[in-house]
Amino acid sequence: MPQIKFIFTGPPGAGKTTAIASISEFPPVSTDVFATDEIAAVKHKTTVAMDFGEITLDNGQKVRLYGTPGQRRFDFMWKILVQGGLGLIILINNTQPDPLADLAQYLDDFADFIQQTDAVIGITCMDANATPGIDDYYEFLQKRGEMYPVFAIDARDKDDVLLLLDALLACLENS
Amino acid sequence: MSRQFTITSRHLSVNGELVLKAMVSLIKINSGGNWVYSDDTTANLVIIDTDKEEGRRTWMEWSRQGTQQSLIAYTTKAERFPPGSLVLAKPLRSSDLIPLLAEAAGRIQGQPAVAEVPETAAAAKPAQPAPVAAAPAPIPTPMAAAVPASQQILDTLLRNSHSQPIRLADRQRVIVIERSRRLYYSSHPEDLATLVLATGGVEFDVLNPADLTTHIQGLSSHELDAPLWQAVLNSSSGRLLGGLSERDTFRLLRWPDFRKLDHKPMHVKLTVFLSKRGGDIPTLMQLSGLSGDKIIDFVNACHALHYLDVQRGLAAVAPTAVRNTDSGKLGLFAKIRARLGI
Repeated sequence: MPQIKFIFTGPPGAGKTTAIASISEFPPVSTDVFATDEIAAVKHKTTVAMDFGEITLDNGQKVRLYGTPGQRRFDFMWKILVQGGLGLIILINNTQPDPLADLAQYLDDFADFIQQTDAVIGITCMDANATPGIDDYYEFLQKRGEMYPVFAIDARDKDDVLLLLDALLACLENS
Repeated sequence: MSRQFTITSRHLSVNGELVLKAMVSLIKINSGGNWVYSDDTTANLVIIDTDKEEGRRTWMEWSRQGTQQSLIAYTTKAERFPPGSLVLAKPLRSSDLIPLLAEAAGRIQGQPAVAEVPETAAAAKPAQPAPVAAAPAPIPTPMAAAVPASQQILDTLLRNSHSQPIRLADRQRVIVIERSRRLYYSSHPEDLATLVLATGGVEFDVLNPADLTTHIQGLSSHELDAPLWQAVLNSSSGRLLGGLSERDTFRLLRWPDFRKLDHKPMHVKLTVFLSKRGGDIPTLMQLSGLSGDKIIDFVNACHALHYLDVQRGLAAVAPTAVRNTDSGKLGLFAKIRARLGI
């Protein structure tokens, strides 16, 4: 039976694990190790393989929430993870040196999957760094000829994460 | 009962004309008479943009001809006009326009009668009031007739350039709206809704951005988006505001921030169509299955927050075939929504 799943992706430290934790029925299963490379400057631990969370529908079906490993050296996992996925949630940390470039990278890496499904973008840590602003992200998308919902969110906030899913579902329902 | 006068304009920009029309409809009974905007070239009063070359030519020609119409020069160079001229300085402010309309009304009423009665005949006959020069029949403007009082401030606000600050004031409160920064300034946050939904007695002034600091002294800044969005949704009543037309094609430049803005599931649905495809009102009705009223209310709110790209008056194009999401997936999405409570 094919899996029902949403994919969370984004650079290390963007909040993927936290976002999944905010809506998963159980604390997400994470395969973390202590960060030893440049990621250590960003966070204490990093996801090597993936995060896994789950919600159960009223009819017993499971909806899986997968978080891709943030480090690019594990990008071989991404193509495996997205197979059969319903849609993509891209999280971007606005305190990083070039968030727009980060977003471009993920839009390019997942372009095929996005074309088959859809994507929504959550910008985290915007309270810590307001630039680029949401209007800048839309301008950036417009230059690429693309349009996705973009929201400033707190990955710890369940309602914010649900807003991302609400927007993604609306895009999937009405495409 | 105050007399009715008509006012028209020459060589104003499209936006300037729209603002003037809206302003006249708001202040019509405060200015020496009942003023109605008209496209009739023989209107009692003509406002001419004399900063434009053709406007200057029109002004000089009409002044030389000694037209029965009163003329107002709309200009940034008021000092060039001789004393006694009616001059309206740019940018357009109701506080400047009102006294000029009153002056013009006085001049128009003081004009000599078209047909004068000879003195001997007048002495013999019972005294009759001198015939007054007949004013052109007032033509109610479609806009003035279409926009209810409760929407006129909002309609005028939305017609104004996004980059120009707006000052609204009544006897008790004043706010300054800076749409470009998504802020408004007031003593009390609730003053915004009170003034933009007022049915009368509100001064509406377009400010020079360079003068903004002066006007906001003593006022606190507040985020504009949420209260303005709410005011428009609450008062829109299925009528397009801000110069929008059902023949226009709309497209969203961005998603509304639904974290902060009150919304319903149909607004999210409309956002998908407006952001991914765009369309005019009939097209959006066809795509979404929603009523025109609901779509118009949402379009107005998006327009108020400057989220909308508007293509004027394009012919309606039949929507391209929509890739139908299969019913199995729609059922699954519904179950997911139910489980997550969204």
